Amino acid sequence: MFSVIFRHELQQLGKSRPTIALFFLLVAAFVFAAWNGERAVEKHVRGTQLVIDQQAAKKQSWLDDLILYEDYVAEQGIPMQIAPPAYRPAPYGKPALGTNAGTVGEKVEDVAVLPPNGLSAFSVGQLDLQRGYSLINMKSKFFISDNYEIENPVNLSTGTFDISFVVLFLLPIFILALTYDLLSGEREAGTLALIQTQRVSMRVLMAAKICARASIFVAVILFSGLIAFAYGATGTIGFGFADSAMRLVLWFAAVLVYSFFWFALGVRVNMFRKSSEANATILSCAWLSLVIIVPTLVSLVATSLYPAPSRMMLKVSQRAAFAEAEANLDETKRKFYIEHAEMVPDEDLEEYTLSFVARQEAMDIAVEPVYKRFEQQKEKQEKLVDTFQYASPAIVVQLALNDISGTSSSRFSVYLQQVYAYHAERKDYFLPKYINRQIMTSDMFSEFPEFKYVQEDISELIYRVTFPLFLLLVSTLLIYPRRISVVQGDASRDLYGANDAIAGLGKQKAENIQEQ
Amino acid sequence: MITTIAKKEFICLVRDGRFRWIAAIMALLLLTSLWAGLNRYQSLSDVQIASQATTEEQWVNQDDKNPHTAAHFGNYAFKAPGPLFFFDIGISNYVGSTIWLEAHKTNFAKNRPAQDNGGLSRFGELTPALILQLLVPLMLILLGFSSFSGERDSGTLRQLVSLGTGANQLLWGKLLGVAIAMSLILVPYILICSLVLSFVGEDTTGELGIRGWLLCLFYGLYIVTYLLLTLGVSAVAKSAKSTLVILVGFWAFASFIIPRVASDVSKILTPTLSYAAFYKNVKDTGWNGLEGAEGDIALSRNAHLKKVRLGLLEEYGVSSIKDLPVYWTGVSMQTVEERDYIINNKLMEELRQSFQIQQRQRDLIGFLSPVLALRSISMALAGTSLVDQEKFIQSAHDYRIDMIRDMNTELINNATMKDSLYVADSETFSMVAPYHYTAPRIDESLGQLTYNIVLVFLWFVFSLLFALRSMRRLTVL
Repeated sequence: MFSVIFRHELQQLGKSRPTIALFFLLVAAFVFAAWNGERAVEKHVRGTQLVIDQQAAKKQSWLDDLILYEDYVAEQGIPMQIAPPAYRPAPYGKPALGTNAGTVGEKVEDVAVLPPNGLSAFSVGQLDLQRGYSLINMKSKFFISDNYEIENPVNLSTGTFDISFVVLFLLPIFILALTYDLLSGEREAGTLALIQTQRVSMRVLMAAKICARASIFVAVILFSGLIAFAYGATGTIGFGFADSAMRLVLWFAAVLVYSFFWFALGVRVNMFRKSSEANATILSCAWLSLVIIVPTLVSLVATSLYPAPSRMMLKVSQRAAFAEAEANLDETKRKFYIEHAEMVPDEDLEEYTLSFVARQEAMDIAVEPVYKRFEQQKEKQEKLVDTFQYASPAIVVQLALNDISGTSSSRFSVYLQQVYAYHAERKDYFLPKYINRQIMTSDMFSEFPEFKYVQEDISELIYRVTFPLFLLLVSTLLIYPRRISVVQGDASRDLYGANDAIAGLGKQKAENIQEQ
Repeated sequence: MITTIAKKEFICLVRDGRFRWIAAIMALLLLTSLWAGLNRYQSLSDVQIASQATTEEQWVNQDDKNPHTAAHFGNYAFKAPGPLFFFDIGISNYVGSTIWLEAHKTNFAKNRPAQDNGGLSRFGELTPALILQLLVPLMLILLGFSSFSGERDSGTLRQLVSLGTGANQLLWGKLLGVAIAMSLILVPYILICSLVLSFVGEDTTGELGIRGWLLCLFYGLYIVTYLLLTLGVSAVAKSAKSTLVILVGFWAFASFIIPRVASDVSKILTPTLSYAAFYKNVKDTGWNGLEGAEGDIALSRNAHLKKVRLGLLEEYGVSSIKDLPVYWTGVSMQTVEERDYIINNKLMEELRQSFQIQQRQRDLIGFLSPVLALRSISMALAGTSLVDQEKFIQSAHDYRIDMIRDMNTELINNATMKDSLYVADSETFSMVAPYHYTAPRIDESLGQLTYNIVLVFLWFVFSLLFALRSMRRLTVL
């Protein structure tokens, strides 16, 4: 019986023009979204590549100058000397800037890249707000914390039409459009009574109807997901195919569970035995509440309870720390508190160097606690959101999708922590050489420390994402009615005569139906 | 007759459980968003005032040092929120309200709240504007979809028409009925808002009231537009069910799909430069000179500096920069600052132009949705639009160049190449007046929005004509 109804429903859906138009629209939305996401990732990658190329060219030119100087020294048979810290390349025959470890560390900046993963195009997330790279030099690490990316703020506030948007906002609308009158429509058309005369349990009927619709959605989701994956992942599989494929599987899981939730809700509302209009009213309010109102309320609660500490205040506190560090410098060092080496008389350059180093150290130490407090407050806020996410499936799935796509703000935080560690490592490489006046040679240029973003193991992502999705699945099962009943002797609501039809079948048959 | 219909419609609505529920939820949300908006405004405003004062004090009281080094220590410009910020936060989450003003570098306004609020902020912020733009239309649809089609379904429309009631009378009566029911919520809300505003906002220009009334006008037009559309569709659609599906579909399409499509299409047609590309451009132009410009700025940086150096040597009749009575390093730095300021302004202006082209492209698509035009107007009136942000950025950059110029000039006049270690004190630093931001006037705010204003009126006229036409085609069976 199931397969008969299932096939019948599929045929009916296939012949309904509005339904076909609806699916066509959904596929079109997915295609447009995949393209948009891919463009966002491309812009991100292009910007990063531009900077990598620039810095590589700079490093090469410093190296070339150094080799030239080495050749000159060898030719003349004179000892190599260290170049004073300066901005401009030295004339031929003078020590090249590359000999000075401090200057190299400061000026030949390294690019610490946060590469997108194979699924980044699925969910733009924070990609349009933050750059995927930081320039690392010898200055205090707090100068690297802001990865500003340019975009029209009006477009940012509107949001990108990416796959996550289609999934979170549009997919439920399409699902609800096909389920809101699942039973009420049959009742209003008078066909429900006819169906009830058949030997079919309401549960099977409902299951077949839902399965017919769900199977088309699943097909569309699988198809769109695979197409977007093939289109988007090609250029950016930075972490191997297995990683990307695993993410795709998780993505499917998240999207399917989310879709099932909306199906279950649609069925549940049909159980209220109200008119189709009432169902549509309830479901559109449910959509609005779960997708817009609850998330904004949760965000409101989170930001009211744990307001993200003001960046303005952070800046002011940083300055206070800087000023204090500066006031604590001793007289000689203060004398050379000048940002430009070329302003310092040659004989004082050594003092200047030490002053510079001392100042950067003092700043780092002074600012650290201010920054820690800021980070702690932010963490509290994120924890709160993690707890409250269960208030709406849209939040659960949005967090999961951003996490899977590697565009969440927490991935940026992890990256920043790695960058800070690398900043210290790099400083440890250059600073002792600088202070000890060790002359750098051209062969050292290939052994500079390099930044490599270490991605967490995929199992950690699976661990993080599975639990919320599992809870969503459980709530979906709870929402889906266990007993599908269309009539319970409430004749006053039964305008369309289903009861009369059943009465005509005889008492025995009616009982059978109700039992089933 | 109209009043009788309106009265009947109003009583039916108010007695309906649906209305009571919707009204209660709406009132609750409006009040919550008002409270949250005020909170946000107050704390932001307090922090801004405190931060600006502290940073000013830090600037003046910094350790005695080389004035150019003081310029490196720099200062901060913090943007003060306007009083209507509580109503519509516009793009505030996506623009920085902090600009670091330092030597050699023109910085963007950084530290955007969206970066710190995580992914959730992408769902939007619960503000009165959001509720009026998104929720109220849906509420109108839910209250009004059965106005005609429901009566037709239940057979009462035939009775009504048989009484000799004209179709247009019916329309106005029903419109009035729903409008009065709506105003039960909205009029007290407007009163509360204006009361709040009179306490919160310092109305220095006398414009605040005008802004408030204009907001009422445009939101009023928008609400009536949706009401007319709802009644119009209700009159022509086959049944109450199809009325509802059509209207909810349109609402979702106009409120969620069109704005994003419009914004993405504008990004496709006019791609925004990446940060890296923008700064490469700034750097390259700085080195090579501004093509097509007049004067020294067209020269490469080195040629420009050489020209200035030779000019100075000639002026003072000396042969080496070491013999100059002024500090050459300072002069060269200031020369570069001045040319970079012009170059930066030019490139920023180009970026701004590209944002404006995007705005026009969005507006063109926005023709399909009544909410897009309204959104732009609402942000502009609330003082949270791009115009405000750009004025802030420009004023901060202008402030910066004055500050740097003061410091470098001090250095130039007090140091020489032979004796370069000059230390200035707070007397020098206090030459720089505190930073102050003045919000755009109302004509500046609305200056670029003629099209949007026309569009809101056009949507209103269109919905009116549509409703009237639907009434002519009203079928009773």
